[in-house]
Amino acid sequence: MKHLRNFLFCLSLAATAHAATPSDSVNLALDRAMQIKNTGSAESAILEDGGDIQLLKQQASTPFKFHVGIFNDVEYQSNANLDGNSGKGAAVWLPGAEVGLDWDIAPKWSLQSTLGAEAGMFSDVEEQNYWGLSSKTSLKYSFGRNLPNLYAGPDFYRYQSFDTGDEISLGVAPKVGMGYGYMIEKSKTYLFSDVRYQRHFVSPSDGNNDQDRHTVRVILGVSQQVANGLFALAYYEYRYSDYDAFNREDSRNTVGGSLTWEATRNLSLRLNTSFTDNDSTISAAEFQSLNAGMGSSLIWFF
Amino acid sequence: MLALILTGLSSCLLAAPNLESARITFIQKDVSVANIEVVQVSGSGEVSRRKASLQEAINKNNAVITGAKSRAELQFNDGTIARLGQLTSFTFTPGSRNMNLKEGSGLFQVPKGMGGTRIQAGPITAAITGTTLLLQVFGDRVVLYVYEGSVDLAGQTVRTAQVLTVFNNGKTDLAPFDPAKGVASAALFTKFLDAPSTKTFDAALKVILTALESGNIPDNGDDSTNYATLNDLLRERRNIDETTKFGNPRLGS
Repeated sequence: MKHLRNFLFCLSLAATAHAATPSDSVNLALDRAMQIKNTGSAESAILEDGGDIQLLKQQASTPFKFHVGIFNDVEYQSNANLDGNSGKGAAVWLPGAEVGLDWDIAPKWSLQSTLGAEAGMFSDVEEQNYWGLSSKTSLKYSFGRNLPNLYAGPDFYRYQSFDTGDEISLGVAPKVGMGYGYMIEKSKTYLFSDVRYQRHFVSPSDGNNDQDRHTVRVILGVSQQVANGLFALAYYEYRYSDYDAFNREDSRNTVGGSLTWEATRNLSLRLNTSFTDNDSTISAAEFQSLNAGMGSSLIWFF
Repeated sequence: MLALILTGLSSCLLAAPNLESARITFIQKDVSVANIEVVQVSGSGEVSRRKASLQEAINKNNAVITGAKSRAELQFNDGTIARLGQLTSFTFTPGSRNMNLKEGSGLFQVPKGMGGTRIQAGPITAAITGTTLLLQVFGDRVVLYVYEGSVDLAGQTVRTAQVLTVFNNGKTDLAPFDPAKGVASAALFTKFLDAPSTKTFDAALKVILTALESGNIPDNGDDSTNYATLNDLLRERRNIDETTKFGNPRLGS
């Protein structure tokens, strides 16, 4: 009965929302009671009670944010040499480091750029050991919170073999894309998607080793905060690649997931797994691979 | 209609107790209690003021008024604490969870689980769940600092360590701020060291300040999450990149 009474009371409140605000007569009474209007001295008094607002806002609104990151991953790849569905399994160590810039150029416009170095060290297929440098830059326009963003910019990369010193690939890859994320605040769930077109101009670009191609990538995913600092992530990725030099078209499907624990503001640890099925018009390029591993990220923000 | 009924039913079943009574628990210099009943009822007449005293009960016919270099603290029946700054006028409506900060500044701590609290701050209304917040009502703007929890104001959700300025022309400015510096510099903290609520404030603020120092903003409560900060999203993007690469440049990007 009490709950019913409360319920009816709440309905009446909803129907007369203005009742939640003080009446004009209360404000009139307060005016007379105060007998003081907001003046310059009142403003300084209010500022004193609230603290040094101007200094804090200036400090917080710097448009540049830098970060430095060190990444370490170890994982097992069931098909490390990407040979059909029966290639060699191998453990892989994937160290990496990057420096990055996030620059709020103007309202809704930002520039994100990273320069990184990475390597891959395989346990059983040592001939595939490599290291490389890459740079990724995106000019982004964000329509607003919970609305899509558009981005464009060039990627550069160069990889070479550890064993032979030969260059594996040197590429320039301009891209355009659209990202969209939606947060369900009640359940702390983040839904995200990304669609990207990228054109790869890759050296060497001769004969059967020509890697020049168009790619379209679509990612759909969901991330869930399962506890304070603990995030679960699952995603699906589809990638279509159309190669220039010979009649090769690849369709790759990947599903994956990770569990990330942000131990501190700077350190996060993760477990991750994924499965990839790559279909191709060239039979030698077809493969399936299951990967599972763990890793850490150390990131400092400035 | 069904949705309205269900929404009303669920919110009412979980409704927090109303503000029924308040007592003055701290006085600094010139603090007075005004009887505003006559003006409220008739719309005219004079407002009588008397000097406030400690443990004095405040009711619906009273306004608490502070003068220059003067401050006061009120404690409500549900545990809510209101610290009033200089040149401030404050009332509340018993039987509801509505407060009115017409001028001046106030630091409020609403216990967790006390949803539905609303503070009229000048021309706008802040909707609050369990929260520690500081409101300032200037002649041309209202400024809200959220030290803990989240507050809905002027169509925006303001979260822990964010400050929202709402100008009288409707423009708003949301920015982060450093709660540790706010605690160290705001007179509503520094001038209340002898107030009885200091330990209560300290306990709540210690949690948030410790968490902020370590880079982890704690859970903001039922209606919010700290998940959407820029760094979080950047890190999520990084996670995607990390999990979609094979560590093999033959796969490209």
